[in-house]
Amino acid sequence: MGKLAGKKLLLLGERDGVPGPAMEACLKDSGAEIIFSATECFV
Amino acid sequence: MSKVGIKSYSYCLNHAPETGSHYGGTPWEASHSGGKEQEYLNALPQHLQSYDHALHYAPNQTYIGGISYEEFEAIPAPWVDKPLPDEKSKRYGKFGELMPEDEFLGLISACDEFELVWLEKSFAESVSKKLAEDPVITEAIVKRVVRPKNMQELADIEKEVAERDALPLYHDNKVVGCVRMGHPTDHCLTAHVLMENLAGKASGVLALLHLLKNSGLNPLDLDFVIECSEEGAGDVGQRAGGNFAKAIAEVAGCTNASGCDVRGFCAGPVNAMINAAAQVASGARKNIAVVAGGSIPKLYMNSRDHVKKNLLALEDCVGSFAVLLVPDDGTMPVMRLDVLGKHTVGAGGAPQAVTSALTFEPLQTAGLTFSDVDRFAPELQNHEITEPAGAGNVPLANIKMIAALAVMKKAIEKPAMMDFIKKHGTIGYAHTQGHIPAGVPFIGPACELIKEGKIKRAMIIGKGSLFLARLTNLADGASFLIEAPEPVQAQAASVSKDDIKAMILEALSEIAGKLG
Amino acid sequence: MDLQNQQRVKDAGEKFGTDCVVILGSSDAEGAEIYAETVTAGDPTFAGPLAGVSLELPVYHVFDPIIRAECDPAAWEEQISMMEMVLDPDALAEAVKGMREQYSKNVIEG
Repeated sequence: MGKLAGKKLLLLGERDGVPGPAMEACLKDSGAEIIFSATECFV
Repeated sequence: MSKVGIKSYSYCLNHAPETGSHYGGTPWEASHSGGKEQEYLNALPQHLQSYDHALHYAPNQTYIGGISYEEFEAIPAPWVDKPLPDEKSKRYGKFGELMPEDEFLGLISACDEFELVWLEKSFAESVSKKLAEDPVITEAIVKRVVRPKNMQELADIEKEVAERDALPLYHDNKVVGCVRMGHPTDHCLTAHVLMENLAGKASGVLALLHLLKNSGLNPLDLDFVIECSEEGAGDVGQRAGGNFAKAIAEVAGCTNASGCDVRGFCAGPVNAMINAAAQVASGARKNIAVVAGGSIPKLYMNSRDHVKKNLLALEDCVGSFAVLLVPDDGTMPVMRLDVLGKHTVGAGGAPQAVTSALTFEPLQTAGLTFSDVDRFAPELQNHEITEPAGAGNVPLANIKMIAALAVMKKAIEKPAMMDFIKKHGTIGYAHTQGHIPAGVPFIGPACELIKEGKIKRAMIIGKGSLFLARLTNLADGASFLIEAPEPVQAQAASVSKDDIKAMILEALSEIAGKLG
Repeated sequence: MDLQNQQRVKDAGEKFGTDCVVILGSSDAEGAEIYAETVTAGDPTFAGPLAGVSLELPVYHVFDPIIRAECDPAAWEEQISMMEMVLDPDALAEAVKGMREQYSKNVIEG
């Protein structure tokens, strides 16, 4: 059981950093529920 | 024909601190926050940059071609405390100009066809005289500034603001005019939206006028205009109907041109370039001007942080650009159409997938590797603006992504990354005007460097943030290569296999005919 | 932080409390710190829904070893590994850690 099991994940990505969908792909099998994943752009 | 000539280019800035400090997205939002951000709003006017300071600011002069890109690169950031000498801080540069705000308001008024802009009479008269001194502003435009319907008494302007939802225009802290609403209930035609669109149109007109001057093209000979900003002009029934391109061509006196708009957030300009190049290459159009005006809402976007850190709020210019594409004649830098960076729907949004689609894949198709590109221009935002706002150095991050991918693809060794970044990267100098910094500012400098024989090849990259419209979460981007021209003779010498086949078949059929 | 995203964090924080874990993909350490502050102590710019709202959510940068260890290695390689060369993973993880140690409740132990 991973440390994130049962947690609710809020993923706040950045276009020129790590975008939301990239984090989502890495954490979808972590045992946590992804509540939302967003990406922001500052420019 | 898979190459088109880049005949000319123009880059302009319109200084707009007073308009921006009222109607820029961040100040506008703050002024409608029910007083929550009064402290910031009160402080912002003390952080504005004067026109003279903006003229001496190295990134601005680089954008308009007052100094070369190489000169700019030699000046280490921060640039704000390193004003350029007066002789390098002129209003007009090789590519365009930095227009003061009062004249910009005059130009906006000249671009109005629906009595939406009222300027106070004496102000209109004074700016029309100033605009008449501008070498690209036509007599027709100067006259439009002083059309009776666009000039009103101050009392009438104030009444329009107080009673009919017009928004005041300011100069020297005084109301000098207003933008009126276009419809009492249509939220796509409020004074705020119309101001944004008219400013986008006016700045696009300025870029097109400088393009005509730089290229020597008679306005009547322009065939087509593709506009590629991020503005949406329409009404409630069709919120972004368009067409900025034709509206811009009209004011610039390009009577024989037609036009259309291309959109795609910050990837819009690169897509517009590809679109235009394809039409010129196919012979569908004789020539095309790709044009974009700038954005009022992006003015002072990061100014909350600039104010908080007691810095100058530098996001005070509406940016614009224009590029003229013509058939390749072997004398001009060319844009290649056979190798384009294309981010597919299935490519995914991971930075390495995006970077690979936009750089590695087209280079591989062209039989090239990363180091064959002398300069990559992915994003060109001025990091002196973004860093204090916690948004980092976006151009550097993007060049690093390309270098990191080059390492992953074993094109360079990891220890060589920093060298690669320095040698093949670009430093940002463009205003945070959304689509404006997305690679395209470097088309001009790249062509200049090619003409001077200093580089052979540059890659222009645009990335779009489609998620902003809540329509799709897909990443987006596009890229193309600019190369040194090949003499037409050399082009003729490079005959393809298909050409040879066709020639042999022709000869054989001739012989067969003679035998028969 | 985008106002809509602040609202989404606020809604989730109010519904699930500190069972929520915020994971950031910011490119800049200072930016990451502001975001971490926003979801723990409240919006320091006072512009958004989290102004004056202390959710005290556990917050991490995706480059924090604690989070990285929970990621699928193959997906990491494909989606994020390149950005490890581009960004400064340690500085980003540290910047968020500073805020987490100050304001977060119910943190995941390393």
